Amino acid sequence: MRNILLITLLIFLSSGVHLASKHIDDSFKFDETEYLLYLPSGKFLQGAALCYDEMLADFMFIKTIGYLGSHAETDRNYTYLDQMLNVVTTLDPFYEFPYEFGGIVLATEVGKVDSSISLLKKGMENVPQNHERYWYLPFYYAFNFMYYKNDYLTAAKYIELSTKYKNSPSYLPLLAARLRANTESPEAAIPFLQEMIKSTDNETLKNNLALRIDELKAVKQVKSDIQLLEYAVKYYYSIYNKYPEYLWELIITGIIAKVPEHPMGGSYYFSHQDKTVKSTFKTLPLYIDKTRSLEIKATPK
Amino acid sequence: MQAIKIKNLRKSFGTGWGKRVAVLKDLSLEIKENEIFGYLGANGAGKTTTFKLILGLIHPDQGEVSFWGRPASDFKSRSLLGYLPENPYFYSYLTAGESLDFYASLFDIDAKTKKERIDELLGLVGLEHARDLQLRKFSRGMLQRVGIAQALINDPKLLILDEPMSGLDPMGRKNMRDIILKCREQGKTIIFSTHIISDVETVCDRASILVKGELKQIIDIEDILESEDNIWEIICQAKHFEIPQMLEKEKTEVSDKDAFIHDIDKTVSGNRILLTTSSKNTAYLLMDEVQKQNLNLISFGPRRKNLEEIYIKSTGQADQKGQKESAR
Amino acid sequence: MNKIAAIALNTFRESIRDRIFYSLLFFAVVLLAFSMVLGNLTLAEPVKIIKDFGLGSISIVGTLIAIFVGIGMVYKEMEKKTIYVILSKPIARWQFLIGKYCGLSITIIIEVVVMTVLLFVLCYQYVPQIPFTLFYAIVPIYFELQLILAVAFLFSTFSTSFLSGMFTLSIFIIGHLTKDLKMLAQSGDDIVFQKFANGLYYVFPNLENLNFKARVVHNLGISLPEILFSLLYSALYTAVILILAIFIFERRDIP
Repeated sequence: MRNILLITLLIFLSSGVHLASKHIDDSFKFDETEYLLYLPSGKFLQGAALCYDEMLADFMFIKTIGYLGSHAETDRNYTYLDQMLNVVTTLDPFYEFPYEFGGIVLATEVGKVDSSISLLKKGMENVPQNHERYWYLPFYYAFNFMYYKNDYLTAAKYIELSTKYKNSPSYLPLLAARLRANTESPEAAIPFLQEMIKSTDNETLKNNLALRIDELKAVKQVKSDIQLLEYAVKYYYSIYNKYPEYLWELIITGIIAKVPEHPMGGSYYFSHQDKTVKSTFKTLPLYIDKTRSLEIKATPK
Repeated sequence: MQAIKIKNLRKSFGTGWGKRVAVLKDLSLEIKENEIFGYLGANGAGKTTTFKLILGLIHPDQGEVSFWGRPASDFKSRSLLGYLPENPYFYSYLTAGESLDFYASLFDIDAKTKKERIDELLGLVGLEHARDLQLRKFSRGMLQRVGIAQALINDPKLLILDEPMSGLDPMGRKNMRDIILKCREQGKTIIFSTHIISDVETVCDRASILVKGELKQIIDIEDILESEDNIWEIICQAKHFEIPQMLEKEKTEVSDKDAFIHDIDKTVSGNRILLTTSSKNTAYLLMDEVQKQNLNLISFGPRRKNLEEIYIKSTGQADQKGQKESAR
Repeated sequence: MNKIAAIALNTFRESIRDRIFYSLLFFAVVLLAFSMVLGNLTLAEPVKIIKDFGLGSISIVGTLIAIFVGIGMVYKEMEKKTIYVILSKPIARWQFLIGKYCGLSITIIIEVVVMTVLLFVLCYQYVPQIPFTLFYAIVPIYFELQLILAVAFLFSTFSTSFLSGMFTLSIFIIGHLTKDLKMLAQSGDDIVFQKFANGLYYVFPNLENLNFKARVVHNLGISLPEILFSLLYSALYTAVILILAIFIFERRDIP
């Protein structure tokens, strides 16, 4: 009898505990950003962690990944991401992965290209150069310069730097040469993006990067389509001595078999003002950051 | 040859805030070889402190201790001793056998002798059955037996026992007495502290009374046994007994000449009255009185003065003296 | 020598039969298991996390054992009055102390060895080769634990368990901070603070000297002389502390 009473009491109390904790979780949502406002600087934590800096760095990094994940699904507001990464890399400056991960995420997902650049630079200074993924750091550094800052020469310089470290892929020298020769080819970014996809397990980031690759491929496609159409227009002009009103006139006259399909769902038309073929899908999201990056022109020494 | 020689030993302890309390005040004592010495004293009289000084567990403020001429401060001279602390504590995670083995290994005893001695001692204290039992499962009495066994592990010349009888049942006390007597037969010297007087009377050769850190008296037990200094006892059946006026009067008048005449002690228990006095004359006077009052006499006779009376007298004097001192 | 060995063996037996050792070892194993979970949470290099946590646990648990068991070793003997019987035997106080110290050293070795084997097994699951380089971090950790144990002993010879624990923990913390403090002081202009920080740096043990964890995990080059000198530093410091402990213990009364 007494035992039954005790067990009942126990069950009763434990369900009480459970309900209370659930209520606390539901009603008083813990605002993590506010908590992160108190995130001390890495230098301070380094002292406070005594000799357990690396363990703390691991913890912080896992927390950072969690922070990224939770915000990627909701508001995509990553105010504290670069500070968190900074703490991680101060606590354990030799840890390569946070630099690589942060370098990609800060630029592509958060849009803080300069944070990404300085993080990668910190990584290049601290990570031991014999690390098997070291080459990624100058590689992504180069990508930032090429893709966001259109500074192809700096990009080429860092790609060349990247080739010096072990495990770097064999196409890098060629890529560097192409960057130096053809400084206006955005599709040079495709191999970078493909590397990034390889190096991440984060699905959101993967999709995002894949989208970028599609865009870049589209740009390439549009460029060649326009080239083709302009060639056809010139041919039309040489025969009829006037410009076509519409592009379908090129088909009727048998110059081309059909107007190529626009890869991003837009269409091509002939502009009589400029006397050139144009695409209705001019501004690809790819170039959004261009204006921002133009304001601050940072070139590494 | 003296087994222990204690000379002008003083020890005080700090009680914090710079105050010091003297626990031993100028103690000098010599213990003869092969005697059983009873170290009597109330709780807190300084018995354990003396032993700790002998063993070098604490350092004296002044004075010295030696065994057979070897200074106590040299730890090697402790190989002559065996010590049983008051309420001995041992490592509760060890078995009885392991404990003895461990303590034996602190002496230079070879493995064979060690094994033999452990067997022998476990037999002596009657713990063979508990050899492989962890000490945490032992009763107080059993621990006391482990204590005596470990004290004897090195076949010491001198055995120091702090309250060896406490916590033992009557059978255990008898065993302990037998062990002590057997040790003397083997030529060992034994000093043990106690506040139980009958233990001293039954086994000791000599005893000392320690009161508040001062040695009051050293008594030869033989002297007490053979002493003529008797106490007279009258036991009679009665509800009341008036000590006659005459004796009271005599007390005041003659007290200077005959100091012991007035020490009549009356104890009433139920309908029995016990009268004691140390004077034969007084005793006869009391007998007359008993007959006069027509009381039923149960017994009348002399009794040896025992250690208890001596002890109480010493302690009592000290108490009075102490009170006087504090009154001043 | 036999007497010291007897005390050491008995102390070792005590700590093994004591529950605290097992609970701490259990804690260590849990920490290691936890590192596996964390390792799987990150996107790359789970071995790095496991090594961090493995070395960290060896150090944390070892420090806890050194402090908790070390502070009790002398004081508990007095509290439980077991010391009377021991010290009434022909054994010098220093023999008693060194014996106790050696016994606990063995306990700590056992802890370090068990954890190291576990750590190696875990690492082997991920990268099938035994990471022997970790010894460059583990041996200094062991020396650090010895030093902390000696400090715990020193306090335990004259102070209660609780206070000794507090003191030892502070020494551990200060020992890891003095280097930072000294650098911080030197970067400022406050001369008093500089002197103070320098004093701390030279009086207290500089435990960061023995911290090779990060460098080992990241395979940075460590010069053997550096490790050897750090070990020498630690051993000398430990000896000084132990002699101090003996000095105090020989003179004190056992109440």
